Amino acid sequence: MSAAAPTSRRGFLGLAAAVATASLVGCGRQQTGTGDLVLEFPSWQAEEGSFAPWWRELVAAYEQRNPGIRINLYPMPFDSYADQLTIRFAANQRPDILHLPARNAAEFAGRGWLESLQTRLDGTDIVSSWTPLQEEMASDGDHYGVLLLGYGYSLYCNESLLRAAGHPVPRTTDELLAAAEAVTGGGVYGFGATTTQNPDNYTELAAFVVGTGGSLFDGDRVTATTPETIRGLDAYRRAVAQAPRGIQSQQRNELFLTGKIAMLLEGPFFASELEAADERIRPALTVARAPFARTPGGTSNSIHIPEGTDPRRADAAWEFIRLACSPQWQHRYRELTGNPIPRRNLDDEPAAGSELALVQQLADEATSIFPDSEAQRERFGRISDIVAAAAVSLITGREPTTAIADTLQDQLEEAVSP
Amino acid sequence: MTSPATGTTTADPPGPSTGPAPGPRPLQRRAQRRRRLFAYGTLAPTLLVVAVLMAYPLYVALDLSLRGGQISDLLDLSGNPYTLGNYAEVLSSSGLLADVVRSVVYTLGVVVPAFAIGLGLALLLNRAFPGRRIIRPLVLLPWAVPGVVVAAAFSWMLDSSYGVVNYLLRTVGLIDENVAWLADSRTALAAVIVPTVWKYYPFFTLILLAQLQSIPAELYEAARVDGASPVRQFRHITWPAIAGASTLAVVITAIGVFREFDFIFPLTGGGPNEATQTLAVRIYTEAFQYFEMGTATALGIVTMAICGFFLLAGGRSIRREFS
Repeated sequence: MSAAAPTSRRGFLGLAAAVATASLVGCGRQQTGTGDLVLEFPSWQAEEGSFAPWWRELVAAYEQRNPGIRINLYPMPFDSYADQLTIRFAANQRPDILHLPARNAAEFAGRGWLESLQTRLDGTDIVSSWTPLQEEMASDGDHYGVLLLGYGYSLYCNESLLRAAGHPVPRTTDELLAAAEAVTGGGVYGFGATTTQNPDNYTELAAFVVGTGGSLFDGDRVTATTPETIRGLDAYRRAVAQAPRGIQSQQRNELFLTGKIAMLLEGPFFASELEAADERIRPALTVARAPFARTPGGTSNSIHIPEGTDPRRADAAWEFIRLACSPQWQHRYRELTGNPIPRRNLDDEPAAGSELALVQQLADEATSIFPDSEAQRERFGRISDIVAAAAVSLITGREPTTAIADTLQDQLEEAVSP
Repeated sequence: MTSPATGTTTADPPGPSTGPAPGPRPLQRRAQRRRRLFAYGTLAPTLLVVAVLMAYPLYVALDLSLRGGQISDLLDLSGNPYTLGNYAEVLSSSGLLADVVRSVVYTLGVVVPAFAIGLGLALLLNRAFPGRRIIRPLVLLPWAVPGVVVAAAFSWMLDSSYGVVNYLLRTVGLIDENVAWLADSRTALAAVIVPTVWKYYPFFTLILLAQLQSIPAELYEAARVDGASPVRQFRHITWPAIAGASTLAVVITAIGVFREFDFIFPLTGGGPNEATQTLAVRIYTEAFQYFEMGTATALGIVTMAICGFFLLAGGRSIRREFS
């Protein structure tokens, strides 16, 4: 190939990506007519429930503190969020502030798409006062992002349905399974889960495995066939047998809010959706600790600066991240979203016994459901697909759980081998 | 030459000259050149668009498919050496054969019933009957509906718990329990084929109906006079008349279905357990979920080669139709 080819490719792909980006964000990358610097900031939370107000307030506060800089916060659908960003990064059309589902962060870092924030973080108290889950944002000892939300799973229940079946809110895995089996029937389901192949299969299956004392990974090793893991896979299988077939998480949530599902496991971000429930159903909906020996949890989302960002823009983006991490805005985050915060050194703790205190406690004691080895995290997309396929086998197949675990072990070992 | 009357031989009369024909005069040559220049001039914008929209992306895809290592910037591949590794990986993977088999099963599963329904409807609509003017556009309506919209509608209809399909099957007693059509590996491919058939049969109806209407009615009258049954009329008059167009329609549709994406991905995403992972879906997954651009483009080139084989197989009929 001629040396000129990259230039011509750059021209073609750059033009195509520029057209696509321009259609999305108008003139976001340019300076405005008034000479303001505009930082581009796509996020699936820009119009999402309780998170959008926090982002809007934060952006307004930042713009007030930094005259001459504007932030163009705009929504992108979550379903295709990582895919769209992948295409944009590959074509060198990168936003200035990058908000990511934390599960994708390691993959983006592995491709060299994220700037190391280590030098910037060294001058702050962020790493020292943050949740230990922040370590998932590290690669080769350097942090390439800041965790915005780490959580522990809660059990969302419809107490009316449980009472009608003669069961209290479950406190153990066995109680959960017995209650789910007792409720199911007549168009009502004891448990809600994602029962079609979807990335959510990973989190739901791993929550049962980790909650019951197992793990899919132990460091660099795959541990899908240990007795503890198989016990978790069996519990997951029994629970999803009481769930509607062929549904995704959005349908699952809808069915729970309309009184067709008695229980589901979800992070604290689902709590804000309970208000959308039918007024006859809402009083019966409660949140409880996940009925496991260990609280499963994970990282939800994080914030980054793309590699190769113009230094002036990168500095401006970092100032925005620093503001988001400040005690004042962490407090506001907890207040507005009702979610636990990663900052650990706030003076005011939520009132004991409150739902907020519970979700904060669950987040603090959570055991991560995601792989802890960097190599595995960088291949999480493939790992997630393999686990989702195993979940489908557990949901619809007739093979024994041990056989499915054996296949899962082989496929995961192949996927993580160098 | 020998005269049959006298038996004598006479010389042949002078015939037309067999030497080289005189070339066009200079004026004619200039006019020809002008016409040719004008023709190419008017074609140039189209050729340019084709080059930009087809030839260049094809070159980029080929280039990408021959690059090794982790591609992180599509605009700068200088750090990615040339290699045949992507093709070696793709062609030696056990998954490729499974993906090709699924793609072929999906293609045949769509084309065969869609052609049968299309032909049946074309034969029906070729007859005169009350309400034909209303029924014709209704029959062709699915052709106008975007694939993603069809997928969304069928995903609700095939919903396991609240879908109308399970409701109807339960009502008539064909099933006792709800079937998770799209979530069960054993039924997912069939559940994806059905909406695709619904979308594609009008194309066959349209092509075959146009062909049927070009058959002279006298042929059928003569056949009836000779006592030919409807089956023999179809075999000896109708089928020969529509065979060429049928082949063309089947080849075009097969290529379209073979690389179909917008039915499968919204309905199943290639799952469950890869039960509906055709080549097109795998290319998308490799490219945009795993960001294995080299592997994805190598798969794309392989898919293009398979589609080229389809074209060659049906080439004679296609050439006959277009010539």
